[in-house]
Amino acid sequence: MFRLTEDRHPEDAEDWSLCKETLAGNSGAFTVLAERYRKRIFGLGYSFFKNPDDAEDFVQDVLVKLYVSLGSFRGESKFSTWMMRIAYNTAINSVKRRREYTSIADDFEIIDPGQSPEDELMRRSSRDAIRKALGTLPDKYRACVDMYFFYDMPYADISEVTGLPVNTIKSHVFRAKKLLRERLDEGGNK
Amino acid sequence: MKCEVAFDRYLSLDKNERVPFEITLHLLVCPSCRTSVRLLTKAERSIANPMTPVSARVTPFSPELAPSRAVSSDPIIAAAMARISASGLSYVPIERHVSFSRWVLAGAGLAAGFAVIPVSQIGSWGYDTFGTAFSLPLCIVFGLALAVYGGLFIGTNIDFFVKKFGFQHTA
Repeated sequence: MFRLTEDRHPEDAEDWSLCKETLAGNSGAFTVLAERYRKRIFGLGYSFFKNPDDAEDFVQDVLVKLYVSLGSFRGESKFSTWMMRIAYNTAINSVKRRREYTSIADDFEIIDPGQSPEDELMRRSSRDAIRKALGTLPDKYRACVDMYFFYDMPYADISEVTGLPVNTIKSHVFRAKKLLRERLDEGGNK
Repeated sequence: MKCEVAFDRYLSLDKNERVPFEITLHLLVCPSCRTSVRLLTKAERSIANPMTPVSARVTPFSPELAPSRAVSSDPIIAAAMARISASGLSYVPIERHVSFSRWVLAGAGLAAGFAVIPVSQIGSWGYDTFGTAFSLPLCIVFGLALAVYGGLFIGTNIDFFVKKFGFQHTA
């Protein structure tokens, strides 16, 4: 069965339209897509490679892979999920990768100029709580928690990217959320 | 419902999942849980915000703008695009390789041919020999020819139609 895709979320529809434009030979559309997701790919690369130079090389590799594979993207999942799956697999299979995955909460200063000092404080506090929750979790589960909190991905999408069962992801995210709540309540009671 | 039970159920919800009625009810009557939910929502939003896809927050996409943005100001993206271009992997613009003029001519020729048959020698002979019953096989042949023509037209240009109209396969 075939259906038109314009009934999806506006951002997903926009991504889909950019993909079609790219496949139709408009490379400017792919530049727009790349600019849109560059930060995410860099963040994921930094978590695996732990240095900005390798992370930048990783961004280039992923963008080339995305471009080449774009013809096989059928729109059955969101573009962002498909893109993350390619980026995650590229990172996992890279020979340059360090052994462990470092969470964004651990070792990556994300700058968001649009935030107020109060928001910034809350973000730091939340990052600390997530870092604590990640504790001794194995690599693959750390990446799941990161994807939920920092990449704003739902359980099903994380499962699609990492290949882990939804319930496993859910339980690790749940634990992190509990710690985050405790931390926020402590802050509120001070 | 106890606060701990209600909150645990709230915490197990997915992104953008609808909050069940009994939890909503609990939040309405419990100011402490309500505050926690508000703080948690704000915290989750604040940590996810920096990784939100850029143009969704800054500049909406316009197809007219896209060609002028073929070269990115970001050096990493520009380098990736240069690699793609240098390896000859770029997609060919649709307009350059899809021409419908031959199909339009063939279609027009087909329609004209069938329109002329009834007034031609063959048509006269058919109507003289078989009477009005000649119309039925003529229409069937025309219908079959039209179906074959349409099938070939779409089949040989399926790539164009998929890209142009965005049809996708669903399970």
